[in-house]
Amino acid sequence: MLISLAAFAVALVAAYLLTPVVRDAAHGAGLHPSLGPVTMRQLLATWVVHDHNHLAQAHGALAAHYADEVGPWRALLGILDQVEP
Amino acid sequence: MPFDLAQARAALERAPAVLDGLIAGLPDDWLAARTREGEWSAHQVVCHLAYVEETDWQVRARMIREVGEAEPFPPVDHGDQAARYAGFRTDGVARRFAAQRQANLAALDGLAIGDADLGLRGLHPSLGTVTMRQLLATWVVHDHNHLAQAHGALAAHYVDEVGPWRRLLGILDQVEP
Repeated sequence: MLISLAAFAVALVAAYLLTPVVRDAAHGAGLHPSLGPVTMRQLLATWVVHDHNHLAQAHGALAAHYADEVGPWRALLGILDQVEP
Repeated sequence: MPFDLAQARAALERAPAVLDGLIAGLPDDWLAARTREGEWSAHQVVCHLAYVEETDWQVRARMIREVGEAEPFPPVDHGDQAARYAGFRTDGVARRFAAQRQANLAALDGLAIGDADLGLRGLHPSLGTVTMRQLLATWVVHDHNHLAQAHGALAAHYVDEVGPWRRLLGILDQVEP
């Protein structure tokens, strides 16, 4: 109990110290080599969406393994539309 | 033929954990995000997965095993099933999906399908003759189809947040401009 209270206190202090840094940084700007000025917020959001982008891509690639195996169901499975006929 | 029954079963068994990893802890507004009007949110995708798990796969596998082509599968409603799970949070629906998937895999094991049974035939109400192998492969691809759809819906939540990166993120192409 004492240990968890101490851990909580440390987390609280860390959050207090770090939050302003993160908040201020979110308004900072960087320079993307082709897209121009971008913000910390945009970078972090892009990081998240980039994961979704490529996880969805992996689902498509794995589904393609069974493109022929599904037989006539292929017509109803949109994810297989991207597979070469 | 790339189809391998044990591998397909393993993929089906993993899907609930993949889904849980995708939605766990997300706030309701993120789970309600959609690429455009009329498309499904991640919450609606989970409801659809739970619904077909309860009504479709196991029924069809059993019919192929026991009825053959003598009678078509009962039709399945491909519309939005969110009303069916009204009052449930997304993670609650996902837990129902997981439990039903586990029950379906146990029932599948009970059918004791061997390689020789993969060619058994059934009758789909609109597609005509289908085989056990095709049903099981479709079950696996159906998971991938809707997990990819959920990724698209969740990504849409940040469509404006990514700023100029939007045009480099193909998954956002389906989002209403």
